[in-house]
Amino acid sequence: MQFTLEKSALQTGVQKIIKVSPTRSTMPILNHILFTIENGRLYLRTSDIEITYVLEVDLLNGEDGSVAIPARLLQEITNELPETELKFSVDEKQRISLETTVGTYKIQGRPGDEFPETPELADASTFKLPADLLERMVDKTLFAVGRDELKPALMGVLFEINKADIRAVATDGHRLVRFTNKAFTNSGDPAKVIIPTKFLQLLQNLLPMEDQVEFSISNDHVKVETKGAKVYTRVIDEHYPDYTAVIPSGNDKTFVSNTSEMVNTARRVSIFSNRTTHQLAFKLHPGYLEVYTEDPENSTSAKEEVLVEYDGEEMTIGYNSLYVRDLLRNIETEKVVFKLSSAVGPGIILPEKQREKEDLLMLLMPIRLNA
Amino acid sequence: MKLFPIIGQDDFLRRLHNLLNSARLGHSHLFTGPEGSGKDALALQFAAMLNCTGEGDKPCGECPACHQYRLLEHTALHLIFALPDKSKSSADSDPYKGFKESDMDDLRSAIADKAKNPYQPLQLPGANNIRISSIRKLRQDIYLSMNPGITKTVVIMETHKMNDAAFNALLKILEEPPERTVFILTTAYPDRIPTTILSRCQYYRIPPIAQVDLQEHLEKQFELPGPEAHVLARLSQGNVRQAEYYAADTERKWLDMLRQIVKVMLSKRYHDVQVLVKQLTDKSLAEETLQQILSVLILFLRDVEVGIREGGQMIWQEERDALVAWSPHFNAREAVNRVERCKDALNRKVYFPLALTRLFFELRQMARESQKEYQQ
Repeated sequence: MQFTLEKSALQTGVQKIIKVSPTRSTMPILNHILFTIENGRLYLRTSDIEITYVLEVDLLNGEDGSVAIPARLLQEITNELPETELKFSVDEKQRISLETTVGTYKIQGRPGDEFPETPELADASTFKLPADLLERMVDKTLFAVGRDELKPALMGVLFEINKADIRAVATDGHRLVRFTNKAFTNSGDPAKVIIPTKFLQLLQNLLPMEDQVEFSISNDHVKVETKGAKVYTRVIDEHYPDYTAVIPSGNDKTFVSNTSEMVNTARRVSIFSNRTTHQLAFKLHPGYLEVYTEDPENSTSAKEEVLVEYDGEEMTIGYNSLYVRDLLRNIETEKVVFKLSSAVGPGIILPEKQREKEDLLMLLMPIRLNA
Repeated sequence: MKLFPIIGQDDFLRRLHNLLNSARLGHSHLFTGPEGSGKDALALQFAAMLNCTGEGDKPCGECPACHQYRLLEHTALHLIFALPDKSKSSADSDPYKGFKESDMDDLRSAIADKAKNPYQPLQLPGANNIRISSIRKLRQDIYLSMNPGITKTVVIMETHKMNDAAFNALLKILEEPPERTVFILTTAYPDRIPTTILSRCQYYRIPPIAQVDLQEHLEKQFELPGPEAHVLARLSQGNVRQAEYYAADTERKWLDMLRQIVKVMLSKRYHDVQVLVKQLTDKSLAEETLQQILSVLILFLRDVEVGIREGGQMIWQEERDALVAWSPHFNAREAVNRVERCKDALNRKVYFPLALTRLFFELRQMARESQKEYQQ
């Protein structure tokens, strides 16, 4: 097998896809980049078993075949080489000779069929999606994903593709975020899939450079395809809990407040909260909200008041300050709406005004306050 | 086909084939059996059978899946084994946290060695326990989907090396196993595994490797002459690791020593016993070697008792003939008892020279008395 390509093309390609190659793996083949030439087109592939990244790279000339080349070695040599043509020759024992204008380098490769297979997307639903929408869905939900491996279903974001909207949901059992975009239309079948966080984090890096992506969902895999690149991930093979059952509809104690003021207050007051419980109490009065905390172990306490639009009866509710700050940080409007029911019922946090054709809902479970 | 160099165990392999074809495949299997009987090798073979994409007999050894299993690099294969503790925190879900690049290289080469010889334990320096972080990582990975038709296979080697926390974490998975997943646990010590885990597994007892199979393996692998391989196969009692260890020792000190012991038994001089005991208790001789020599002596005495098999040839033919000629009614069975008593005494750390001197005088005495009986 022989092929020739520009150094810059290979360097850019390697830099992109090496992110998927695992740093600590017990499978040496995963520390390789698979080079495949099919019908005169060169595809580079890396995989960490969970995610597979396939990238097309411009080829000057070459014959069909495949070989796996050690990734780090390739990255280091492409970084050091001047702009030149790279000529790869691979013999039947996968000994690779890399010829450049400055010298010749020998690398031991591995057979292409030892590399993990490309995921198969059987009966996939495929649709086009603006990259910024997908990016926004990821940004708005990823922070609320669970980290507890005892609840594997919660360790990813649930994507629901319906006929007239697309929805992303994330929860860790204490808080929940539901993001819906109603501008989306789908002519195919509705689909549901739980996408692991690692893939979504990769998308956060990949998407800002793109306009539109092709999104494919099958029972076992998800694929995001951009110009020249395909990224696959395995999905979480579990049933997502029925999140709709926990979203209350009758929360009648509504107050509106300035978002940044609330964030700042929560940040300042939480400095004095207990390091384990992060407990923060909201005492709601007509016209103002008292945010306070007390940590008897360290004899510290804090109290602030924030002006709110509220005319209902007084009530006190406790929250984990870390969650409050996380949720409020994701409210982009000047004002934020809290909808509460009681001291033990879930509270709903909404932006004052939703974006056009968009619905963002955040839910936060209260914690029991010290007597 | 045997994907890994599995020695013998044809019956057990047939059993695995039947299990695969029976459509009654459970999700958790426990392979137990004595050390060196090939539990890991059979577990890996079974895992490969589950994912072989070839036609006919599985594993075919030809398909890409078989090829990847042979290198222990299949994406559906999760290997769990004891790892050194390099992480400060016990709450991690990355079992390799704190590993330097050189540690990872050692680990990868240990796995590559295991792929070449699955009878050797996957042993890393300082690795005494299966860490809970390994099980946490497994819990993260095992719920991810796979390509259709692929079964996720989890092979847990030396399962008894888990601590309680790791067992409990594993139990959570075994209680609600993900679909298309098969767990294969191996251990030589099933009594160290909690009953909660045992009760969720199908139990398989792997017998020690048959002596003929082991002998054939030694003849092929180490190019040993038949009689020598025969003795080593008998000596290692179906334990491949032990057999390979003996075979790799080219000095064959045990054979020289056995010859000397027989010589002493036939000798008239008391002084010879003293010289022999001195040699055997020399500091350069490891305690295991001494035990091995006594085990060889037992085998020799059994051969003296039973006689030679038809068409067979003994490595100690000359010595046996000399002893039988000199003392035709030698009570070899009683002699074996005496040697076993001596071995037992050595295990209890008695004063070695004394125990050995007594043994050799006893053996001499027995040889002499039977000679007198013969002459009378």
